Amino acid sequence: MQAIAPEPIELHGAEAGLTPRRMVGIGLVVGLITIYGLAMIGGTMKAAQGNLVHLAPQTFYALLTLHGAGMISVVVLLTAVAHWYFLRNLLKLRVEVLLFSVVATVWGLLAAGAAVLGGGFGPGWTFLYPLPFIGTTWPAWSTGLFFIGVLFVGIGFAIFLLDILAGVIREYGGILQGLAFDTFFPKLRRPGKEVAPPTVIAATMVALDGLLTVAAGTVLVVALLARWASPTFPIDPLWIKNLTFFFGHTIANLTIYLSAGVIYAVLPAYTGRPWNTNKIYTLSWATSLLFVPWAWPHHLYMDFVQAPWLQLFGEASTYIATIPSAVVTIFGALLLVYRSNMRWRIGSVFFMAGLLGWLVGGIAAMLDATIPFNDVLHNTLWVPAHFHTYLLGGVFLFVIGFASYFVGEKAPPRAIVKVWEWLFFIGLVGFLLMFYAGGIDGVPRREATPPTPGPQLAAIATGFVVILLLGMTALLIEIWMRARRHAITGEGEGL
Amino acid sequence: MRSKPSFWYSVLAVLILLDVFGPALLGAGDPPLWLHHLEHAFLLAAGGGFGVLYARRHPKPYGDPGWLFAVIGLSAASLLLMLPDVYGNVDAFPVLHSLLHLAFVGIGYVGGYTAERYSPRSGVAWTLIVVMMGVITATGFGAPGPHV
Ligand code: HEM
Ligand SMILES: [Cu+2]
Repeated sequence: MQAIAPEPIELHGAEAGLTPRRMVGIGLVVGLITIYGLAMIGGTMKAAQGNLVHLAPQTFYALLTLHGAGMISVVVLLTAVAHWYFLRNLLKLRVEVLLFSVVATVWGLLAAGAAVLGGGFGPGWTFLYPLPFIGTTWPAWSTGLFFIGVLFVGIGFAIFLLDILAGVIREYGGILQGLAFDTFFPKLRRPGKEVAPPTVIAATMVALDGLLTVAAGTVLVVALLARWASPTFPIDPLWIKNLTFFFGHTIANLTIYLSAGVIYAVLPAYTGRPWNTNKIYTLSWATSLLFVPWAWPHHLYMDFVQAPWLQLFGEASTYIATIPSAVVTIFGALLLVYRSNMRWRIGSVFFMAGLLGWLVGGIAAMLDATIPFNDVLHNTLWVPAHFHTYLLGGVFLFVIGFASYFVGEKAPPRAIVKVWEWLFFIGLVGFLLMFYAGGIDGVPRREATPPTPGPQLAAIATGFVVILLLGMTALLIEIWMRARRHAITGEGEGL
Repeated sequence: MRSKPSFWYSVLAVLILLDVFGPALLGAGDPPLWLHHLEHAFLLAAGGGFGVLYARRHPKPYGDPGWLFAVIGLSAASLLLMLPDVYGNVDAFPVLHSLLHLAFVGIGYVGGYTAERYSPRSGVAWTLIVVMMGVITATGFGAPGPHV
């Protein structure tokens, strides 16, 4: 008897089947399904603003809150997972840590989702004090649950960032080497080690600024939870508004820098050329590292009690933070592609289009961060116009491009894919133009029932959203089918 | 630092003792709120320093991921100490308050130790993050401020 009994097999880690590829695949599927649902909610909000469907105002504001908080969290998750995919070998990262980080984020999203859909929590994704507490239309439990959800998303991101930072220190010897300062001071370099590639530079910058952001976010959420638990807990509204945007602005902004890390790793595969580090990258990324955390005051230009030096410093920092890394990345990408026989696949098309979105959205953002323009554009639809340009028209395109690269695309896509791409981009551009048009006309953002021409523009935009969603659905199905096929043939990433 | 840890142990210990028991002995009241936040940050950091020094007795290039999970769980749990219901009740009793300050040292210690066991210099990074959070709280956590 005992001779036949099979040895019990102990499964854990890689042997249990949680390979890095599978983990990244899981992250992509979870993230993309969530984005899909949140995009449908976005379309519903537009339709409601255009009087095409009816939503009670409380429902509109609850959905607005879920859409904003959910989208930001999920693009952080997706860009982090994509970047991790390239960092895992360079920094010898462990898949269990990523799993833990993804699980914490998903728990956070579920808690926030339950607070909104079950309780109707709806002060907007920036939950600006005292909106979560005064004159509410939702029960107190949903307020607390939402903040606990935010805390979990922060914990998930912090795990990811700490692990990256530890990896950079372990493999390259320190933060300066992670930022490639050994291009200036070769003595810093570890014997036998190459200079850090651009994707590691981006990771180091994101880890440092990200941890600072999460630290601020934690203090913020704990203060709000304290106020929730005991209503006499004192909060200075100006202080917490600054903290809110320190956290909210920076975390949304960091998704573009995580994306840059992915671009540095993916585009060489499509062009067949390496993307090398040089001194210009070191300087540009060090500049962004130092100034990204100081751009937030451009959200407070209307607050006359804010110290004037902070306003000016915020304005200057916005420019200094944004320009260098955007320019070196976009210019570097063009140099890489120029006369390279770039292979045009879904991946490369989406990466190049995403760079355009980053550029246009970035310029629109800097306009809004310029004080005289802000006097006119503040809290108009110009704001969602610019951030949808670089989040939906930039970061999200990089995510789709990465997904396509990840499942492998050696063969050129079927002819019909061109049609899906056109649908997607026509829908995208039309949707964004309606936002910009509303901004120029001074239509306020975050209105369930906006004044004219808000409803008219929203009705047209809804049509574009439908086109966009059609194209997006078809493209994601295309990528999914390719993933299934390659799972059988064994074809892996890239091309 | 690697050569003479015992010297640093003593420096840290003296600083902690001075901070925790000095005011009570001198009969001084609580410092202003912002300074009090910085004081907490210092206590966490001092604990973290101890933890890092101690963890370096087990040099290992790359520890188990369990250490990292412990760090995160611990950091999250320590947030509870900041809640006013916990803090307000303790504040009324000087002895409890001193003990709470020792608890900060303890949390810092375990955090610095576990993080350093996870990966070299992670304990230092964790300690710096905690100090950063302390500085951020010092800008106005729990203060009503003039702008009501
Ligand atoms: C098809 C895709 C999408 C549609 C149809 C859509 C639609 C909308 C609409 C109608 C609003 C409200 C604007 C207002 O009147 O103030 C909004 C807000 C917002 N969206 Fe989207 N969106 C989409 C994708 C995204 C993506 C990909 C992101 C981020 C990665 C995103 C992040 C946000 C944020 C942060 C807000 C602000 C929420 C707030 O004001 O509290 N959206 N979106
Ligand atoms: Cu104290």
